[in-house]
Amino acid sequence: MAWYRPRMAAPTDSFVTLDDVREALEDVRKQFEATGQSIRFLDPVLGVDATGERTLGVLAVVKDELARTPGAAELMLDILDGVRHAFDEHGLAVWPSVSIIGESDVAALDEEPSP
Amino acid sequence: MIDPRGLLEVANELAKLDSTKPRQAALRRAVSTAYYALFHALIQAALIEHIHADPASPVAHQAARWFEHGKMRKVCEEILRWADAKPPPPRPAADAPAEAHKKWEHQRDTQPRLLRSLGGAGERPSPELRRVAECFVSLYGARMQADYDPAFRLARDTARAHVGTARIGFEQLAASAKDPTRKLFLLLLLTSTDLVPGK
Repeated sequence: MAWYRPRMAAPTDSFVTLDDVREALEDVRKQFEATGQSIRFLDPVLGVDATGERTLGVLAVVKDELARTPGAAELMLDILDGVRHAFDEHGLAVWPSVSIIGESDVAALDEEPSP
Repeated sequence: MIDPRGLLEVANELAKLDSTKPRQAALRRAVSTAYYALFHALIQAALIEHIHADPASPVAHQAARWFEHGKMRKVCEEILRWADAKPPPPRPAADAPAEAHKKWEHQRDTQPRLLRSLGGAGERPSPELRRVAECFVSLYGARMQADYDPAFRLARDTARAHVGTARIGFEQLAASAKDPTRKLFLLLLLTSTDLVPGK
């Protein structure tokens, strides 16, 4: 996605790879879909922040009606929880940052040029 | 005095600006302001509980500067690890095979430091306090992106969800008033977990 790029190169010494991340996200997706909710994740981004900590940016796409309710914040925290636990089960340690977005906003964001 | 609730209101207003096409600048500031609202709410709670200072007093103003963002995030992460950790297994009998002892030692040594330091069977953070920690960690990451990542782009829903996260943090902080681990949490926000033994 052009609008969401890594701000730094992925750390070469990272023990968390993008494949690990995708596998963990797939676990979360299956769990959510089992509850009747539809969810997908856009390209995850591994990086390091200004303090040298590993970071993981995750963007979860859900139906518009879900993204636009006040419950979206709760959903975002649930996803964060799910992602973290999925990593735990794989024996991986990383602290993700999760954002939630509605389906129609994905296209809208892509139309805008990056600043 | 910085008013956390005032910041939360402003964050909400920023996220609602420009009904047809929200400006990225407004959405970024909404996310950042939502983070700062919870950041200051936690600091005020810590100052009131541990320094017994009126948040408007000069002492409180000075002491509020002692808190550090990154350390607060790490404390919240430790709280989440502590809350989520499985109970420590019972120690094997003295005549158990050496491998069982090794396995037990490994499990003990890899437990969250707060769990190890405070005793395995003791108190755990309440779901409310756990949620506060989770909200802070979530907002910390979002704020880093909103303030420092030029490629980060926000949808209004996303910004509103982050503002909602701050609101949940406020509510759960209030709801955690009777949690016996709350005082420790608020103390650690200032001291950091560096003083707790272990990794």
